[in-house]
Amino acid sequence: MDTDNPTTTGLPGSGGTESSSPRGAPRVLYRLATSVTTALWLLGALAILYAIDRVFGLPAGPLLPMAALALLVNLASCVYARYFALQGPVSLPRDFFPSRSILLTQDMTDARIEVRQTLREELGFTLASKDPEWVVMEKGSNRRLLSWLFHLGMIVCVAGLLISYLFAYEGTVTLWPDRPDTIEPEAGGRLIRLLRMTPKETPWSLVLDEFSAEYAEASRLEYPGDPVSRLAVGLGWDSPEYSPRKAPALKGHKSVLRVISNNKAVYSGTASVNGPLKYGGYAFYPKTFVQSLQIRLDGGFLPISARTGTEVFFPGIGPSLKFSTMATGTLERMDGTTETLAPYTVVSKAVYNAGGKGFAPLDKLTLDTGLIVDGRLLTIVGITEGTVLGYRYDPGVWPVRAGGLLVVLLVCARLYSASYILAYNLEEVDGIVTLRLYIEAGGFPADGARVVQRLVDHLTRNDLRPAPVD
Amino acid sequence: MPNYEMILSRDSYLLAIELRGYWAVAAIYGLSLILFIFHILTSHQGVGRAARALIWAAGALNVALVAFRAFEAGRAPVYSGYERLALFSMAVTVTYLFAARRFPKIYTPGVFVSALGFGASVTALLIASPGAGPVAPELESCWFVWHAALATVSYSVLAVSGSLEASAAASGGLLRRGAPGAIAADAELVEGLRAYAHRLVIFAFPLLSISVLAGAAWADAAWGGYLSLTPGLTLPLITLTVFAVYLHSMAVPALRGSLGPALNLAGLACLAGTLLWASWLERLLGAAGLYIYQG
Repeated sequence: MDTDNPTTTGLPGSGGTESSSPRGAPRVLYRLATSVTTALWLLGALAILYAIDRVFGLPAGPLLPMAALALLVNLASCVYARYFALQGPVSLPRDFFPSRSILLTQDMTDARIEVRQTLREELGFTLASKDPEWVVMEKGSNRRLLSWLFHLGMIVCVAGLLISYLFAYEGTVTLWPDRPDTIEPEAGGRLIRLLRMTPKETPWSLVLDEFSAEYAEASRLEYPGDPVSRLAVGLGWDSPEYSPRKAPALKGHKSVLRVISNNKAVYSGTASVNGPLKYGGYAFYPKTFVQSLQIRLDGGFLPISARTGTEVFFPGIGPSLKFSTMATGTLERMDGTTETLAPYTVVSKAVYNAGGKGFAPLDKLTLDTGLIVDGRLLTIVGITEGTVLGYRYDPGVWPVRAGGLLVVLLVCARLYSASYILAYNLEEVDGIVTLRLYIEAGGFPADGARVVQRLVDHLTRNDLRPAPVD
Repeated sequence: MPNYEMILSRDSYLLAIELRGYWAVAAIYGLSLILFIFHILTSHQGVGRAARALIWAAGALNVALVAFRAFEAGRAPVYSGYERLALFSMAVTVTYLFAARRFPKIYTPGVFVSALGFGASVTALLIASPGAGPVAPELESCWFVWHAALATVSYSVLAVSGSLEASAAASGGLLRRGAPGAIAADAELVEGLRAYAHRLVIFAFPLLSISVLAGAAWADAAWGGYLSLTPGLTLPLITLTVFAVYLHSMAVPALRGSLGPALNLAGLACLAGTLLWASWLERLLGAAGLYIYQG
């Protein structure tokens, strides 16, 4: 029997059938695999390796997935072993000591009947098992079954994590309106990279139908950074102050996307912050957006495309120009009202100084006005907005979600419900009957001491008691 | 724009009141910590009672300030590091005062609780930005709210559990040395502290599990990588694992008395690490986070 197993898990050899455990050489490995101590070591190793890898940013290499795989094997072995234990009776630990001994005034026959009756009818216990020495009764939730199901859920969860680790990959794609594009991953998941393969381009393409952004009027907090000044604020010698920000803050943006396959639209949806678009195993998340301004120079026929935030050269105009991002869409004011933004861009010109090349702002340029730079008239005739989407392909998400949900529900059921295992025996020495009790209480609401006290109170209710002294 | 001036002026005034109140809370926690330490050194029960009375005052004021913040910002106070630290100091105090009913004459756990409350308050006031501005788009998610709120509540319960465990360890040490002290050195009491600490972990563990799951769901919806998280989000997962090991070890009779208590204290260290990481350690090590916090 596995010596470090808790009481009622009842591994093979302690309550399960002998045919469920291997014989011979694999027996040692089996006992190691099904051991709770092994699980403790693996969980501890996982916590440390995860901290090294994610918190301190040091590469844990293959140790992390190896530990996860070992935990998966341990979980699977435990679930297998406990399945057989579930078929068997509830068992007690090899070494346990009765927590209470009570002298009864009843004779042996009456005591036997009364103890069982009290446990069954007054306290709600049911018979779990008995042997020549002990009678074992149980009450409350079936913690063996809940624990078993919980560990089954953990297997699904850990398997999902491993699938993610091996097969997931991500990247970015920029989409412009009316220009469909397929997803061509540069590199696949770890396993695919290990096999020196590349994932295939998607057979479908994605096109941006509509892009919209929302802005909100924001304030800036004038608050000191040093501790002494902050203490002065706390003592009332200074005050923090909100002031309005010059530029509105981006509140969110949405991209309406369409999936095209065989020249037909097969799916349409929106990718927004916290609301990704999911299709074909991929999930698309809005990261940022790009703008292209169509600028006409001196009223010329062909406009020049200028990507905002990037350097643009115009014939006849100085070194180069840069256009800031135009805030388009809606603006939520501080008083709760909403209005449509009148977009504008700030035009900057390249300047060279001792520090190198920089850009000095010139003036604003809107859709309705023009700006003269170096004697040339600039007007905006159009604006195109594209979306930059992050994408992720991760087949492990659904097993992790399903397993995680199962685990959480079962953990709550297991730990928030009371369960009791009570073992008792009666022995008679020199005509005096002694009741010996052992109780295990599990779950947050459980109170083993209270249950035992109720039992004792009921069994001794007819006993003579000394009269109170006045 | 007189309307905006009024709004900004009102917000500035409310923030000034809140900050002064929170500095008062920090001062009361600090004073309570000093008194608890004095009680441990001198065994004076009156000092212990005074310390606990101060923690009551700090807790009540802290509850009022958290409610005030929710009113001031017009949303749940879980979005910034400042708000979460204030919520944590409140929750740990409330949990301690609830647990203290079981051990009315034992004041030792109060030293850890007041230290945590003082540390959280001072960190919030000196490091974090108290601004209640608009929420970053990625944080506008019900998954995030549940993740942050449940993490804070479960952490506070686990912190009190760690405090009880540390007190039991200290009491046990005194018992073994046969030394008298401010801690009522009694074997049954030590076991009672340990058992109650275990019960608190049983209560908090499912909440922390839900918090981790909600955090993963939020990260998956916001960025697409449920494990591509910053230290501020992965540390709860590590803390959860540590307490999972604790619960397993408490179920094994051979490990219950030795490994179990050590793991509870290790979990307390993880909690402290999680709270500190988002502020002090990130700045110290220059570790930037993907997690977009306000302020």
